[in-house]
Amino acid sequence: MHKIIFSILLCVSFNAFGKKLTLTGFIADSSSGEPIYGASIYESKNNQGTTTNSMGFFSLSLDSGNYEMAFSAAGYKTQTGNLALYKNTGIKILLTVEIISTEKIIITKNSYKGQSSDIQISKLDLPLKQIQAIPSILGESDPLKIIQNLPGVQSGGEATPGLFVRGSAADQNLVLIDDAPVYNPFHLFGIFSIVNSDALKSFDITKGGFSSEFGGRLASVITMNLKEGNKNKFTGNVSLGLATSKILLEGPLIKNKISIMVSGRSSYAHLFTKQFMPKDQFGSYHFYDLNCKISAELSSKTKLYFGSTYSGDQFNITDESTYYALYYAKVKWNNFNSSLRLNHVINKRLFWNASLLYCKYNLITDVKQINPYIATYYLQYKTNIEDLGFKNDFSYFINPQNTFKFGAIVTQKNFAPDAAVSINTEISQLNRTIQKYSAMESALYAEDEFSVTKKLKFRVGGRLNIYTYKSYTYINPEPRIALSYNLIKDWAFKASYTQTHQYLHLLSSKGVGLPTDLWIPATEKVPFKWADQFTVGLVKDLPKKNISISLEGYYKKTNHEVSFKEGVSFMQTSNINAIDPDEVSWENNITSGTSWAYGGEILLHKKSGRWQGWMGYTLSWSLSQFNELNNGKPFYNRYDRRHNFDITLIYQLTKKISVTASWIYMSGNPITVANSAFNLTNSNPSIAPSVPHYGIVFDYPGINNFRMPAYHRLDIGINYKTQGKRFTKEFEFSVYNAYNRQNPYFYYILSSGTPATGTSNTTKQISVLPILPSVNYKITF
Amino acid sequence: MSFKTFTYLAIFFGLFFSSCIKEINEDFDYQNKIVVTSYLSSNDAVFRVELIQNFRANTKHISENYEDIPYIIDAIVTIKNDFGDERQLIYDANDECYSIDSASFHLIPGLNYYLNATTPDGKKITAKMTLPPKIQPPTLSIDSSSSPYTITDSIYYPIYSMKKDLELKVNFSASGDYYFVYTTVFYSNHYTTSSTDTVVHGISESFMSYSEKPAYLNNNNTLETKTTIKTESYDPVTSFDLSVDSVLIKVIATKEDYYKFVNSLEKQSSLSNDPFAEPAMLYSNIDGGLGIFTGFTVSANTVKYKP
Repeated sequence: MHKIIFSILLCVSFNAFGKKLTLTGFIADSSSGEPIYGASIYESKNNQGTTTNSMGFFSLSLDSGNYEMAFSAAGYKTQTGNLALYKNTGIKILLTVEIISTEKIIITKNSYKGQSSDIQISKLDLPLKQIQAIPSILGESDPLKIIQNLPGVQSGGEATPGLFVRGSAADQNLVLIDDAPVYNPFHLFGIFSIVNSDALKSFDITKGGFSSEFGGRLASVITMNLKEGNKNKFTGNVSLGLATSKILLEGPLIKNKISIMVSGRSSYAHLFTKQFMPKDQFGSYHFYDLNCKISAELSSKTKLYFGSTYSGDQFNITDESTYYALYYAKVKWNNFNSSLRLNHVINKRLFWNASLLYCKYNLITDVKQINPYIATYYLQYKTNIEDLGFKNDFSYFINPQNTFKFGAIVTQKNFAPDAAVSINTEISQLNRTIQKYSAMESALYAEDEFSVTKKLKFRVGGRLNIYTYKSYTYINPEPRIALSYNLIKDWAFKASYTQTHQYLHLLSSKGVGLPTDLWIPATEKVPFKWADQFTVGLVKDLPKKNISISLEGYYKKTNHEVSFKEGVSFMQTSNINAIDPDEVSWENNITSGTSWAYGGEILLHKKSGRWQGWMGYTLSWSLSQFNELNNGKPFYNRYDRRHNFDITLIYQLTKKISVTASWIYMSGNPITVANSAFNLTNSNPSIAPSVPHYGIVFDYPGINNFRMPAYHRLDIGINYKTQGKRFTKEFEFSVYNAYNRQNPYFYYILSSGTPATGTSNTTKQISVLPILPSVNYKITF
Repeated sequence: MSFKTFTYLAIFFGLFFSSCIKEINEDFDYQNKIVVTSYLSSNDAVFRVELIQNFRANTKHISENYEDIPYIIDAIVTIKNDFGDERQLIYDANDECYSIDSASFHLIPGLNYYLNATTPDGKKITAKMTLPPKIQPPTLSIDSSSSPYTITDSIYYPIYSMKKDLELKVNFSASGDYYFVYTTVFYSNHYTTSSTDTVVHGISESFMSYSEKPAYLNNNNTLETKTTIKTESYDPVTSFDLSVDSVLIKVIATKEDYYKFVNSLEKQSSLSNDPFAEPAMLYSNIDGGLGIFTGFTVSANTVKYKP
C-alpha cells in the first residue's frame, strides 16, 4: 500500500478539552490544486467520517482528543495520519494521484469509501479516471454515453439522443453543469454528449432517493462540475481523433489565487465526407463545444467561480435519389449555460453556496419533402427555452451524525415553442405569430441527515415548489425520506421515498427520425406532472477488493404524463393548409395520462486497481395509460426494455498498456407500426356521409405494438501511454461495434406504384452505426 | 497516393460513414383476421354484414381495385338479440355481403345485438352493439345574413362571388348518445355552392351541404351551426340568385362505437399523406377481428325557409 504517514501539528488548547470541536477543511489535488468532490474523511477510533462536497469542503465535529485520520478519494493515494484536535481547526489536504501499477495493491478499509456508509441510494459515481479510460464511440470517452451502460440508465436506441432512466422519458433528467441546467446534453443523434470529459472535475448520476436540494425533474439528477483549473502551473492537453479534436488549457492567472480552464472540441468530418457520398444523396454534420471556468480564491473561506459551456450542432441532408420523394432537412441547435457561484464558509459549521444561473437552448429543424405526384410538405420546428435563476444553498454540519441542509431557488423560464407543417406553401410565407410563454418556478427546501443509532441513518426533508404561469399559481410540497441500516459488516439496507414535480414537458414525435423535440411549459390547459418513487436496496462493500455490489428495486408512478394525441400532425389544427395563428395551439393536440415503471437492478463495480470495471443487469417494465390513446388500454413505453446487461472491463496490462472491452445487451424496444391493412367497404348507403366508403386503411394494433430485435454490441480499445519529462503521450485504438452488429435504428415501408393500379410495399431496416474503428492521439503537458 | 493507400482509406472511410439499409421480411406480428363492416338501421329493408380478410401492411401488392378485395364468402354468420332470437345471414354474391331481410329479423331500437362469424379455417369473431333509441323529428330555426359580392382576380378572369350566412338552430330530443346532424340546404341556382366547414355534395339539380361534426349538445339539446352559402361565377348576371327554398335537417343517433370508428377513420384518412403525423389507431369493436359492427337510427325534418 502506498501509505504516506504525516502528522498534522495543531495548536493545543487545553481549555477545550472534552468539548465538541470541529475539523473543517478542503481536500484538493496536490498537483493542480483542484478540489476533490466526494473525498472521504474517516476517523477510525469511533468509525466516524464524512465526505467533501462539490467544492472539496468538509466539516467534521469530534470530541477533543487524538485521532487516526484517513483522507481518501478514488484514483488518489490515501493519506493517513495522527490528528491531535484540541480546538476548532481548519486544514487543507492535498492528495496525490495514484499510479496504477501491475503490482498487487493492498487496500485497507480506512482508505476505501464504500457505498454501505452512504445514505444515498441509487447513485452511480464513476471515477473520471475510469470514464476517461473507456472509449465509447470514435475514441471519445464520454460520461453521458458510458452511464447508458449502467443499470437503470439506457439510451433510446442506436443513435438516439437522450437518457432514459428507470423507464422514464428523456425530459425527466435534471442535467446540471456547475448548477446550471442543460436541456439537451447531446450532439446530433446522441452519438456524442456535449460534455468534454477532459474538462470535468466530477460527474455522478442519482436515479432515486433524491436529496431535497434537487427538484423540477422526475427521473434523475446528473451533476457535473467543470475543472477549476490548475492553480500552480499552466498545463493542458491536445487530443487528435478521427471524428473530433480537442484542446484543454488550464493554469493560474494569479498563482494559488485565480485559475482558468478553457477547453474546446470540434468535429471536422463535414470537411471531407461529401466526397465519399453519392451526388444525389449526401449530408454534412458539424458540431463543437466550448467550456470555460475561472476560479478565484478570494480568501481562505471564500471562493468565486464563473463557468460557462457552449455547444453547437448543424446537420444538413439531401436525398434526391428517388424522383418521387425528394428530401431536404436542416437541423441546427445550440446550448449555452453559465453560472456565477460564490462559496463561503460562514463559520466552522455553516457552508454557503450562492449561484446565479443562466441557460439557453435553441433548436431549429427545417424539413422539405417533395412528391411531384402528391404535394410538397414543409415542416419547421423551433424550440427556444431560456432560464435565469438564482439559488442559495446552506449546509449546516451540526455533528458527524447530523447535517442540516436548506436553501431556495427561483427561476424565470421563457419558452417559445413553434411547429408548423404546411403543404405546398413555405412556412416563412405563412401569416403566423409565434406564441411565447413565461413561467416562474421557485422552491424552498430543507433536509436533515442524522443517525438514530450507529447503524441507522435517516434523511428527512422536503421541498416546497411554487409554480406561476399567468394568473395560475400551483404550490406543491414534496416529501423526501431516505434511510440506511447497516445490517452486518459492510452490508447496508437502504430505502427511500421521493415525490417530485415537473413543470415542463418535452414533446417528441413518434414518427419522425429527425429531432423534433419541443420544450413546453405546464399551462392552464397542460397539467404539470408529478411522480412518486419508492426504492429499496442492499449494498455490500468488499473493501479489500475495492468492490461494491448493489441490488435495488424501484417502483415509480408518474401522473399527468403528456403526449401528442393520435393522428395529429404535431402542432397543427385539423386544417393543415390554412394556418390561422389564432387557431394553432399545441395545447389542443396533446393529452395526459399515467405511467408506471418498476424493476430491479444489480451492479458489481470495481473502481480501482489493475482490474477495473463493472457488470450490471436490469430487469424493468415501463408502461403508460392515456384515456385518449390506444383506445384507453395500457401500452409499453417506447423506452421499455425488459432486460439490460452490460459488462465493462479495464485491464492494466503493463505500466504503459491498458485494454478495455465493453459488451452491452438490451431487449428490443417497442415501436408503433401498422402490421395489417384492409380494403374499407360499406354496403349501407344510408350511413353518415362522413364514413369513408372505400380505400385502403391501415391497422395499428396498438401503440408500441411491435418490439424491435435485441440490441447488442461489443466495443474494444487499447491504450498505449508513455510518460516523458515534459509530455505524456497516449495513443488509443478502439473499435466500436466490433462484430458489426446491424442494430435496427428504425423501419420504414417503401411504397411504389399507385393505389389504383396497386402498390408494392416493402419494409426497409436502417442501421446507422456499423463497425467503427478509430484512433486517437493525446499529448498532455 | 498509391492504389494500396487509396484502397485502405476507402475501406476505412466506407466503414466509418456508411449506414446500412436493407430490405427485411418482417411481418410485424401480422395475424390474418376477419374484417367486419356493418352499419345496421331499423329503417333499412335489408341488414347487411360484410366480411373481408386483412393482409400484411408491407405486402407486395396492395390494391383498391374492387376485384382485388379479399371477400370472405364461406363463413357462417349469425345475428342474435337480447331475447335469444337468432338468425343466420346468407351470403349474397351480388352485394358481396351477408344479409337478412328485415321482415325475417326485426331491429328494435334500444336492444343489444350480437354478431358471430366463423370461417371454415377456424377463424371466429364476435361483436356486440346496441341500437340507439328512436328520436323525435328535429325542429329548426333559421337566421340569415348576406354579404355584398366580391370580385376575386384569378389569373385568367375575375370571379364574382357572394355569401349568405345561415344560422341554423336545431332542436331535438337527445338521450345522451352520439349524434351526427346534417343540414341540407335546397336552392335552385346551380352556380351556388355551400359549405359548413365540410364537404359539398350534389344531388340532382339542387345542392346540399352537410354539417358532419358530431353534435355535442347543450342542456337544451340544441345544436347551433352556421352554414355559409357562396355563389361563384364568371358571369355576374347569372350568379347572384341566393334564394333558399328549404332546409332538410337529419339527425343520426349513434353509439360510442360508431363515433369512435368514424373518428379514427377520419384521422387516418385526413393525415395519410402527411409524413409528420402521429399514427392513428383504428378503432374496432370486433373481438378477434377488425372493423365495426354498429347501428344507428335516423330522424329527419324539412323546414321551409322564410326570409
